[in-house]
Amino acid sequence: MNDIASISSALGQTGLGLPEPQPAQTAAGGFGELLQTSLDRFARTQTDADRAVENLTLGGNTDIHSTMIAVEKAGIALEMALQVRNKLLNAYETLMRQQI
Amino acid sequence: MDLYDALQTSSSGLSAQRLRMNLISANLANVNTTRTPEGGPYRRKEVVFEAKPNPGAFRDALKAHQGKAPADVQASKIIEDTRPPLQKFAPQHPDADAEGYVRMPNVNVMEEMVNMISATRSYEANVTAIRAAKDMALKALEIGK
Repeated sequence: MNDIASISSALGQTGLGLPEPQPAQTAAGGFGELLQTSLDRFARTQTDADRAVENLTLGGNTDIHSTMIAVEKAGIALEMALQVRNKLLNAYETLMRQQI
Repeated sequence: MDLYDALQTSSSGLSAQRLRMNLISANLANVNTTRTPEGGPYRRKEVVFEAKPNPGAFRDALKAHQGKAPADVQASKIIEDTRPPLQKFAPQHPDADAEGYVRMPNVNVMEEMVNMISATRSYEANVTAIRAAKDMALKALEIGK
């Protein structure tokens, strides 16, 4: 919902969409915050995977499967982040293609 | 996230089967051991598993209380086989008793091999479950493509 709000407020700013009385900053902050949180979570899975591999190679943790699962989790999170980025870029390009 | 719950549960299954495998290795390695710190021959060891609710947030704890959450497996305790030790006639053995019998461990190699197959297959099943959960997550991400 938040991204739709931010897009429509952006449309309002360019004067193409419905005039938006709501200030654009709060909507952008809401979505930006969401994005930041998910990026932080994504970074944490990467750090977890790094630490698991390091532990395994240094002989601290001999749990092979935990390491593999951490790496897989990081892979899925990366894929997720990629999809979010693709969606954002798509939305941005759609906006930039608007005829003025 | 639900996907991570499934991974966590399967991971506990992998740990459980690995513990089982470790005990089978110990049983096989000590198949001829007549001396232990507790005295007497080695006794066959076995693990007892129990279901434990997935640890997590309050919502998960509530679900676990209602019996709706997936349960991890954890080793409850390691027990010793109570079957009597085998008696082997070997008068020259230093651990032989007055009648010349040595008390050997109550480990049956064939039984251990069968348990090993079972542990390996269970491990594979858990790995397959992890792979399926991962594939489902990646398929879900393909919706956006």
